[in-house]
Amino acid sequence: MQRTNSDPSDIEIDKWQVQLRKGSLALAVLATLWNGERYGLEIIRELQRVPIFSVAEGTIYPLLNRLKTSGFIASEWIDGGSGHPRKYFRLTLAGRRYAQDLARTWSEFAQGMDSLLIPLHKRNQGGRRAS
Amino acid sequence: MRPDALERYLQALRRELRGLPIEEVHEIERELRSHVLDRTDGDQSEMKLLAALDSIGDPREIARINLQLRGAADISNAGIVETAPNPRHALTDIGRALLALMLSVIGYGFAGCWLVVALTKPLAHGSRRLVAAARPQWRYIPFAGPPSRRCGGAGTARLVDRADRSADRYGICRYHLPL
Repeated sequence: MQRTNSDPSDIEIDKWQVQLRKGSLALAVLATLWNGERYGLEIIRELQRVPIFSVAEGTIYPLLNRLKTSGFIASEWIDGGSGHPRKYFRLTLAGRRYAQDLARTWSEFAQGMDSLLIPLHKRNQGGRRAS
Repeated sequence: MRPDALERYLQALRRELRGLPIEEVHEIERELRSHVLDRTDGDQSEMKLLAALDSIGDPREIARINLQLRGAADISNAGIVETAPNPRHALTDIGRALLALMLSVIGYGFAGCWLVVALTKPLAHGSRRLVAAARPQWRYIPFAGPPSRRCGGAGTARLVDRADRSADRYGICRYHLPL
């Protein structure tokens, strides 16, 4: 994610990606909990499958705690035989509704943006053909 | 192996988390401790431990995000953030309050003094007012015609009304002319 050159457009893209990640990380975290409870490292490993969500691992816990304070997730310390207790997170009913609302909004946003980007994609394809 | 690497990390984090309730700080520590144990998967070698701490991120940054998100959650819940007492902040607040009190006392003192002076000055005999009033302008008008030392001589009566004339101690007429 980090770029070393000083091209202004690259710097701007980096900033934009940071904002994009900030805005969508909560939904991504809620999505990882959709199928059941998970502990911190499990959530992080799930997120790391998508490169844009490769964040410092310690930053996930404050977000989880904020979601918990808002009532969207619940947590519980469980000593499941791993040698140490783990904090498991799960979606609450309000969290499930919130995740669905966010997912719907995200889909609408992505569809709208895709429709706007069609000319850019066509131009890229045309450029490739020409070369 | 340096078993205190995790403790040093958590100590640095604790320092940066001053202001959060102590229970929350303990919970954050517990979460990260558990995370490191998961990350190292029982391998307590120095390399594994340092790699796990590195993947968590800089303690200052983690503390900053914790404080930031904690603040955002409190605002969204319209609650009041209960923070640990901070003597430095308390002293600063007391200093500001004393400064405001002192400035207001000085301001009211000045205003009171001016009011008292303004009210008493007109009553005092032979005093001058605080604000200089427009004084009548006296003009010496040379007499027309033959010299006369009596006020209201010939040639002057046409210029001004009699009531506005007066003679000074030398008998020279002065005429009070409105500006």
